Amino acid sequence: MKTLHKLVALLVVVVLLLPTTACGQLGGGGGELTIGAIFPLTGASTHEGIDERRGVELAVEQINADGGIDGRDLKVIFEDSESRPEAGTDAAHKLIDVNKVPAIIGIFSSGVTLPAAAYAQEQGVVMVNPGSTSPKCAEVGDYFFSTIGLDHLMGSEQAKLALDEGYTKAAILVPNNPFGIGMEEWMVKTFEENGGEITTIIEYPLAQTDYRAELQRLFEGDPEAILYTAYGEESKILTKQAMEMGAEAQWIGGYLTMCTGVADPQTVDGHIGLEPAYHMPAGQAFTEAFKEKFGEEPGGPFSYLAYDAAWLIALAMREGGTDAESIKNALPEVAKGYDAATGDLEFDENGQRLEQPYDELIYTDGHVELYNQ
Amino acid sequence: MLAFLIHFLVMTGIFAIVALSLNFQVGLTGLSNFGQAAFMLIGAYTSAMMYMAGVPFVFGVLAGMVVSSIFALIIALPSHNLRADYWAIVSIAAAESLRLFVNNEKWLAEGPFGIRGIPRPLSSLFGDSYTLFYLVFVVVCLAAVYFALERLNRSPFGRVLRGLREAEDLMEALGKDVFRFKALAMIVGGLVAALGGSLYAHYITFISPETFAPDVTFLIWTMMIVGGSGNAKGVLLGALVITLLNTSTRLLKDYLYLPSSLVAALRTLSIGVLTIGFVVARPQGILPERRHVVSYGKEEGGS
Amino acid sequence: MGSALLGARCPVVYLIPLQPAPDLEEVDVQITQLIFNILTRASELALIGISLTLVYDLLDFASFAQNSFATLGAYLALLFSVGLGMPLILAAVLAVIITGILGMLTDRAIFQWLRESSAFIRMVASIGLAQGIRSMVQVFWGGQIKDYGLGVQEPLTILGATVTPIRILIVVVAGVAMLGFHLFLHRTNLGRSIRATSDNRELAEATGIDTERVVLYVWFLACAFAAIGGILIGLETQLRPSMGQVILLATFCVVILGGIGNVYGAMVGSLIFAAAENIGIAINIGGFQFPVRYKPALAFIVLILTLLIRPSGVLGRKES
Repeated sequence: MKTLHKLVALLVVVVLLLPTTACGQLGGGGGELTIGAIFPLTGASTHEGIDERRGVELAVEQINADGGIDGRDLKVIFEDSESRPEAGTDAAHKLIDVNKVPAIIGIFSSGVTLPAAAYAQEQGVVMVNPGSTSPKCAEVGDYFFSTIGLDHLMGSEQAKLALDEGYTKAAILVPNNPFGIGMEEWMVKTFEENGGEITTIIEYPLAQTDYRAELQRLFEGDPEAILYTAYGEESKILTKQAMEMGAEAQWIGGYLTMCTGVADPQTVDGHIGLEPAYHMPAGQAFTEAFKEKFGEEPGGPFSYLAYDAAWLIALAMREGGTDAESIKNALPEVAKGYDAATGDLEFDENGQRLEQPYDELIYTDGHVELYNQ
Repeated sequence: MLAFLIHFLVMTGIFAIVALSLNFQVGLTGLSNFGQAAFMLIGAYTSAMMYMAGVPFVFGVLAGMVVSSIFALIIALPSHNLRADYWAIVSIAAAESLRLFVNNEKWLAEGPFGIRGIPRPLSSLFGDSYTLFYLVFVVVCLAAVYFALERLNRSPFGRVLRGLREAEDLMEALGKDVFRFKALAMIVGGLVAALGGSLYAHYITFISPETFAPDVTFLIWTMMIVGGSGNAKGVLLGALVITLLNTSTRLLKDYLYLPSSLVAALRTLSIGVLTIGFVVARPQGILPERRHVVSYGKEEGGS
Repeated sequence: MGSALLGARCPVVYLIPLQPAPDLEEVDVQITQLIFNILTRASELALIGISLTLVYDLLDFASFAQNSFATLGAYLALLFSVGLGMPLILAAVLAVIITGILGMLTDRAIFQWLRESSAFIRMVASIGLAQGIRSMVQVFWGGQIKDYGLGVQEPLTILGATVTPIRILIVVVAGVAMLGFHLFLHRTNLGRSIRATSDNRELAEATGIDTERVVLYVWFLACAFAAIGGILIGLETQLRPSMGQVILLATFCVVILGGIGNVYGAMVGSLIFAAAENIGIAINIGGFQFPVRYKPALAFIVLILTLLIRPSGVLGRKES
């Protein structure tokens, strides 16, 4: 009887191990070049993750139609970060250790990107980030690049928008993670430097279902405006509960489509804010191509930024070589000659985006549109 | 593929160490400890922070063990005469409170951002073949833990612990200080789990309060139940099977063309189903506990 | 928020004797608002607490699965209302009944085989079950937040408290459910059988009560109550796969606080717990406020205090 049990156990283990034996096929056989991409395909930032993924898919389609990399097709392995740092790092491990990719596009939330980036940097794998904006991104290392401008750009611009609109008394609402803290830092700095008064700062905990206590504290000081940024699902709850509390103030959002993407239109009507611009010709071309391929408008700026990231990697591969180090060295150069969907894209000495044009937007009638004061 | 195999074995080794620690507390002593993730957290954070502050790796790990022993004592103190289900709740509550504290107090350990870029000890020495070295290191630790715990199991100390599990009142009547033994069992288990936590931190290079959510504790429990509670070899087997399920799902999706969004859910579903299946059909696990036949004056192994 | 308050403000409730009056800080929350918040929170916790305590009482183990049944019930209601287009009330009733039935099936499939096993084994099985249910919800409905599509609620102001109609509904539904349950326990044959089995199983058997059937019915009731609780939570906030699990500690606290196995204890316990939570957050002593981020730790504190001061709970536990 005992041997039977041992046999059963052995059988179970063998069956489970079977798939791993077939593993040689991954990593791009047959002349394909493989890179990796990690996006939040589930969890709080699904809306943005899917958007990013589509941007990359569109880019890859165009790249391969354009001859690929010296005749070889580009292939992307997509991984889900689940909007959690653990899963993001796990995905990075898999792509780097198992699939041996030279470059990864990803991720989205700074809290998720930074740990994965640290591992990629350590292993000498290029990572191009289309979504995270924490100032800490500049400290990761020479293998890490961002196509999106960091918080010091957005945070200050957002504060300036509030001041331009005539608000001098504001409260701040950001997520409690590296992204939120980065935004907070720069919003506070710019707002106060220019004579504004910050009444309260709330760093809301992620992934909660009820924010009434936080919102109560937020409105305690009677702010005129709320300088905020929040991830899709959490923003949905925050704005809804704020409305149900009867609280009134002008909401000014950073990355407005992210803040309003899945929210109930009623609860975010009248919000104004900023996000990376994409109305330039290359951006418009992307919008058209996107609509044709996916049947709907892009969800926000992140698809454009991910698209730019994918194209830059491909161009770097064409220029230098297909290994990580060559890509790393070629990226700053190819960026200068590349007409990005999001405007002038150049990398500074830390591999981060030098300048970022922003659009001023307002949410009205269930969608976001350009805001003319 | 070798890379994946090595990665998988490292993870198995790490979890096996923690599973053995749980087995010592639950399988042997009968304490329903559901706060194991907290001990891992303590070990991971302590050794990571100390190593990054320049303290030699070994000292950091030992420090983690010391802190977790203290925490084990803190849990044992108010709970020592509680029933199993109370123990479960209190230990979960204690573990969650610790996790909440680490999460909220940014000055302590970066709060929710976690600690990233944890350096791997001796990484410069091994370069490309580092993971292989780490595997050997983990296996050595596992072997040490295994034999140490087995020694304790067969010792008079282990007999008392088993006695506590089977007939606590009898032990008390025999004059054994029940609290002391339970506390010791918690401490031993706690510091072994801390070792596991440290090994995890320096391998994955990133930890955050989220890493040590109750899900991890339930995972370890499943390993113990599936493998065989009370049987160290069984627990090792359980760790192997469950870790395989856990790590290979990300890989499997590339073959089975599963939508990425389903992978995470299917992983937890299979583990839940496995737990129930074993609890109902075969609660003793794949390898049941070997009953030691005690004859007068001597002890022999037997089954 | 200050500008939105009407009516008189109330002086802070000192839970610990402090320095004398002159620096009397005012609570930033209206007392009626406080009461209402407490009632709402208690309503949600009480129903799942009753579910938990019923299983504790008649099946003698700590079921970690009741919170997951609450989640399941909420999602089933979502399926019927938003998915299939039924009116919400009908969808809710249907979901509650089906969850109850699923509870009975769970007993047949899993727990009936564990009658002779230790309570510990049953508890572990319930943990596996809880994970299984949560994952299944995630597989079928995905991890995204969902809601019942009621849209934004216009807040009303009643006696100085800002409330939304939904929250009034929640308190009413919970109250009706508990009253109905009380009547059921004391006025119906089945209720009497349940009470008899709970008091003394052997005696109940001896008087001809089929205790196995009673157990089945208790599973139905427990899971149905859990489902109601889950639906109410979903109405008030939103649905996500972890919605039941996040209040696991709180529901256990409520049960232990009130006395394990004691249904009325669960009701009382949830009031006390909700009061502790809300008052604890609202206190403003000389500028010191209990950090909101530590709200989950309140459950732990209440638990430890209960175990130290009165482990049998406020209303006392049933002797099994």
